[in-house]
Order: sequence, then C-alpha cells, then structure tokens
Amino acid sequence: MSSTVNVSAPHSFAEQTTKRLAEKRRRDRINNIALTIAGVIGLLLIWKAAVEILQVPPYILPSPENVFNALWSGLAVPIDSRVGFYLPLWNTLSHAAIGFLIGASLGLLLGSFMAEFRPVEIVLMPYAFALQSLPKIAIAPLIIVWCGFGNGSKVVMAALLTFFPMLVNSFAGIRSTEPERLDLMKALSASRLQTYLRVKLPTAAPYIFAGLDMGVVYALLGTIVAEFLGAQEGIGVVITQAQAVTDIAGVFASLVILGVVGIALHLLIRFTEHRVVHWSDRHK
Amino acid sequence: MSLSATIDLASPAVQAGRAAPTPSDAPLIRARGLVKVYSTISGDPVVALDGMDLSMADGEFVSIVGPSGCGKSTMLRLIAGLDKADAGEMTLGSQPITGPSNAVGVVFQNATLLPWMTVWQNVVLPLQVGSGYDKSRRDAVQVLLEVAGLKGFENKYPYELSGGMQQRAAIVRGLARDPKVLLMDEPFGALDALTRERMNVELQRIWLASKKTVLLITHSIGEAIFLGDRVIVMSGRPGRVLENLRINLPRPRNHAETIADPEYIRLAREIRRMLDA
Repeated sequence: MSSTVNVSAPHSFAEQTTKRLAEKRRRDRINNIALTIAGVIGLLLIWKAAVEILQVPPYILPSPENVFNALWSGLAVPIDSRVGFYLPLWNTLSHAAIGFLIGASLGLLLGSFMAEFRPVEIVLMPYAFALQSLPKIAIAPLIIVWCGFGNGSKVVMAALLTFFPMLVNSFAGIRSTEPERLDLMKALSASRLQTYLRVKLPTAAPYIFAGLDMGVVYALLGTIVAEFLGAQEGIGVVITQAQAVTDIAGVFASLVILGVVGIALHLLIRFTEHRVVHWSDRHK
Repeated sequence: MSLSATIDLASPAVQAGRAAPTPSDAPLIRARGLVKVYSTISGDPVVALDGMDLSMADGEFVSIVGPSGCGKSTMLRLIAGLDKADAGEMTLGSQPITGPSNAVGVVFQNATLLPWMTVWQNVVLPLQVGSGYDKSRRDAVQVLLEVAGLKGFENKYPYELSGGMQQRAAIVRGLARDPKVLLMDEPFGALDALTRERMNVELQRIWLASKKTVLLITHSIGEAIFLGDRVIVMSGRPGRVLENLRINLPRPRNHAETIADPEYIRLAREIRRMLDA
C-alpha cells in the first residue's frame, strides 16, 4: 500500500473508482440472474403455448402445470410415505453413492498403480483402452445376469461407470507431475510413497476432482439403467411404472427430480474441490 | 533493515566484512573429467559435458556463467546427485558423490514451491522426508526465514507471495538441512531486473550469514561477478571451462558501488569477450 496516498481525503479518485467498479459488478450479477429467470419463464410459456395451440395430447407431452402437479403430489407427502418420490429417491441415491465410492476408490487405486509402476501400466493399458471405448451401458444386461434383479446390480453398475473416468483421470493426473517437483523430492532422497503422497497425489487432485465430477453423474446413470432393466425400487422403477400407465407427467416429474439431484451433486463436488484444491486455479 | 540484528548475531563474519575465503588445501568439492551424454528423441546423443573439472573451497561462492546449453545445469545436476556422470569422478569432502545427500541443498530454477503447502510447510519439507528427518532443526529454519525476510508469511501459500519472496523461501528450503553446499540453478531467471538485483543483495546477505559453500548457475554476467568469489566461464556445447576468474571486489557488495568499480568493469568486459568469441 502506497504511503503517499492522502488517507484523510475520504473520496479519493481511486476509492471512487473502486466503488464504481464494485457497483457495476453487482449490477451485472443481478442482471444475469434476472436474465436466467426470464429464460426459464419464457421456456415454460413456449411449452404451454405449444401444447395448447398444437393440441398435443397429454400422453405425448403434458403441459407444464400437469408436470408441476405430478411433482407436487410426489413431494407433498410424508418423507417415509410409500407413495411419492422420497423413498425411491433415497433408494436410488444410496446405492449410487455406494457404487460411486467403490468405483472411485478402485479407479484411484488402480490409476495410481498404473502411473507408478510401468509393468502394471503395460499389462493393463490395453484393457483400459478397449473398455474405455466400449459403451459401458451395454454391459448392464450382463451385470443383471451376474448380480440379479436387485440392489446388487445397481451398485455394480454405478461402480463400473464411476471406475473408468477415475482410472483415466488419476493416471493422467499423476503422470502430469512436473519433472522439477520430482527432482526436488529426489534431491531430498524422499521415498517413493512420500513422493506419491506429498507431490504426485496433490498434483493430480484437479484431475481427480474432474473424474469425481464425471463419476457422480455416471453413478446415477448406472443405477437408473440397472433399475430400468429390473429392480423393485428406485426412481428408475418409478419412471418405468409411470410409463407403463402412460403417466407421462409422472415421467417428467421424475426427470426433473433427477436433474435437480444431478445438479446438486455436481455442485457438491465443485464446492469440495474449491475447498480442497484452493491453490489450483490461483497459482500461476 | 530490521533484520540486520539477526544476521549480526548469526555471523560475526558479517561485521568483519568478510573478504574472499581463505582457500584451504583440500577443496570441499572436487570434480575431475566429468562427461555426460544425453540421448535425445531423434536418436542423436548430445554431449552435455566433455571432461569438466571443478573444485570449490569450503565457504567459497562460485558462479558458473555460460551460453544456453553449455551444460552448466548438467554440472549442477551431477553434483546434486540427480543424474549420474558417464565418466569422471566427484568428491564432497572425502566421500565420492553417488546420489543425493544431506550435505547438498538445491535451489531450483522456478522456486518449485509446492502450491498446496504453506510457506512453513514448504521450508520444513526437507526435515520431514527421506534421510533428513529431524525435528530439532525447526527453530533454525525459523531463524533462516527471518533472515530471508519471510517472518510473518509462514502461513501464507506460495501464490500469495511475490516472485522474489517465493525464491527466498526456496533458498530457505535449500538450507533447511544445514547442508555444506548450496547449489542454485538460475534461481533468479524468472524475476524482473530490479527484483533480481535486490535478490542478489539478499542472497549475499544470507550467504554471509550462513557461511555455506555456494555454486550459482547463471546466465547473467553481472550476477555472476556481483556474487562470486570466483567466476567460471564455460564454452558452448560440449561444455568445458574457458576461464576461471577470481573476483577480489570488497564485500559486502552493493550495486551502486560495485558496478562502478573499475575491476568489475574490467571483469565484465573480459567475460563478455570470451562468451562472444
């Protein structure tokens, strides 16, 4: 801070400019939010108008208020009610979460081993490549055969879909460690584990979080697909049941719920990332 | 500077206005006939060093200056134990250099502080990993931080520091294990000219206080002379010693006085002629 600035003058030019810029930033932010809300309202109006004018039957495309009613009737129930969204949602989310944790841990572990040990990389890389380009959803029927029509298949699907982005990202992240940082640890005669924990893993952290961000969406996807193919509970079951009775508003309501949950999980990962990898976007 | 008290306490040599160190009979570092060949992606091997000799007395500050790719960084990597020489021998004291050692501290080109660690965590890293595990040195590191003008910045992250401060933290980290030798690989290359000059004065101050043997690799002729007891001028690839110049300018040096010294001007001209030739 320059000591030559006259602090006694309350409205120096610099101060005024700072205030004006802050004011402008605030106005911009409010404008952006207003614009987003206007966009949502506009979309709902077009939707409503299209349904009315084109006389679309509700079993093809329900009107917005039908969807809202379906949402409301599913949400305005006690949390432990057998009807409504809460129980199926909990069922889907808990199995997706277990699968996510298993898949993410295994992906990080195997990705680390592949990055650290050449022979492991050489043996496993072809499979990783082959499976990477395979649409993993296509494995789902096989998983159902192996793990049955139940919660086991859901967990396995979630784990499988989380595993690959985590494997690839942690591998790439660890390999991206700057040679200078490795020289530093070598000059300190640090052990391999110390170098991994103190340098490579933190270097890979932004990559790992990108993997988690992808993984959390994939875990949900895997769980829903397993539910489509055969399960007794979950949002996927709610969707197929609604579809069976052409309750398309119910299908839409379920999709809205899934969308909101997906956004919430994504934001949770981003929030955690900002807390953990606080240095990442600011350094250099 | 409020720090002068700390330094005066730390080193009586500062008050004495230390002159060039008295070269003892046995050099602390001795390297003979070092050869290093790198293989490249294209397949043509590159001879980085071709029979390089170096000897450094205990407490001596030696600068190596030379064109890009002359192998001066290779030289440093060999002494640091980061790379193995293809031929030749190196000793530190009476021991051959076979790998990284606690007796050698390294300061890297771009500070290379770990961004997820605070300044304090960075500078005590050498005391927490590898062969340097030692809790008793923490107080000494704290003193070093003060000498380097980083007191109060212990809990800051590197991205909150200026480039000069980051490099000073890197120097403190290099000294954390109390090595006999400090190797510095173009430590101020990324800094602007004024910050660089200030860092040169700071480094001289830290060196006078710590009495280490320092090998400084640099592109800057001025920096090499300003800091060195001796300047080694290297030829372009493959690297060999062109000249070995003793610098007898009085210490402590400052830019205003030293740069105007006829001896400084003569040395700078001589080195430039050699490098231009």
